Amino acid sequence: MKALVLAVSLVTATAAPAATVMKTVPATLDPASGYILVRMGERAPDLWNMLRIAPYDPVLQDIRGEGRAKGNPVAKGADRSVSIGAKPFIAEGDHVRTYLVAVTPGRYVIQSGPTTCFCLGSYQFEVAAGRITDMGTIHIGPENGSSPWAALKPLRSTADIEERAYTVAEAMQVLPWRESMSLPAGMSGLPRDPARYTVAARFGNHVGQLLNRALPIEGGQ
Amino acid sequence: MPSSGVARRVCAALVAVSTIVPGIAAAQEPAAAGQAQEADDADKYNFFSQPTASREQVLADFDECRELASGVKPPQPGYVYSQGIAGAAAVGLLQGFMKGAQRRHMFDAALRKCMSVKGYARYPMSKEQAKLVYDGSWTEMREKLADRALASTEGMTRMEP
Repeated sequence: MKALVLAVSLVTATAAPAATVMKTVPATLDPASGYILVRMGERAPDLWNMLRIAPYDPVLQDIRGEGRAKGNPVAKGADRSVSIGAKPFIAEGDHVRTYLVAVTPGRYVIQSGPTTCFCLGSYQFEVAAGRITDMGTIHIGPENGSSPWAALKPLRSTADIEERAYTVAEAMQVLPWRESMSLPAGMSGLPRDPARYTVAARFGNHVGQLLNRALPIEGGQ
Repeated sequence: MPSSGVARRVCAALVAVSTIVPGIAAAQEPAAAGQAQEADDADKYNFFSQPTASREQVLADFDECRELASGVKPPQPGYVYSQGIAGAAAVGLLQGFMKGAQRRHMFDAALRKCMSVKGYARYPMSKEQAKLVYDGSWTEMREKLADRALASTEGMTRMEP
């Protein structure tokens, strides 16, 4: 019994705090926490996207603690899901908002946008403790020709799907970090690595959304 | 867009209960009675095809896509990501009434997307053929769907996904 109490205490003591979407760039990073930097393009003029990422089990190919990976939950107190919405953000410009989120370190998958689960194929990446993982820029928009972003605008659904409400899936373009992307003031001195994306072939639709697969990352990943 | 056009589209979104794969969807949501329009049969009844796949793969794909699409839920009040005027109007109207039909439409859209991503083409079938295929338990239905998926589609006109 004492061993059980000790084990529970250790798990509780080492668990990182829940995800925090930051309002400003911190002067230093918490070595127990991981950080995600992501830029998200406008969905439409004055309408901002929502992005959900979640801890991923690459062997069982599901969200940890759910579906096929139900037997592999995250530790108590660790992040089970991370949502990034319109606010707060740390920088804004040229129809793109930049977000910084403190999360439990570990392997994550880009799970969904506002209406669509990318359960049919998405990207996974590792978030290291005490460092910023730069996810680059993400564009999400409906496949009905209304997106302002060049890669998404040509994508259409069939007429019957476009005419009905809430049946048009979203497309998602992931652009890994490159030098031309903006970097908020105060960020250059902090330890930061580009996200090393690999394919997440599948996971369950635990968010109850429409379905799609992320667009291929430029370069064929 | 003329307002009559908007109204027509809103009404269509609210009352239409037609479904591309009635049997599979019916396993998830009871059908509202008497709403289907016979004239739309050609668009409503169809099947997925990939004759080069193995039977095991086809069965696995149907199981996976059905499970993923079954989880789709209608948006909640306060939803801001509406798609066009029809969607914006519909979200504030008859929320409860639309949920059943809406969920079926969302299920159909999700299933079609899933099967399309997995490489399946879509072909039309008659209402009579659909009644035979989309009937019985899921265990029976998936075998009939696999038969259709693996059969030749020579001479048939492929539909958009």
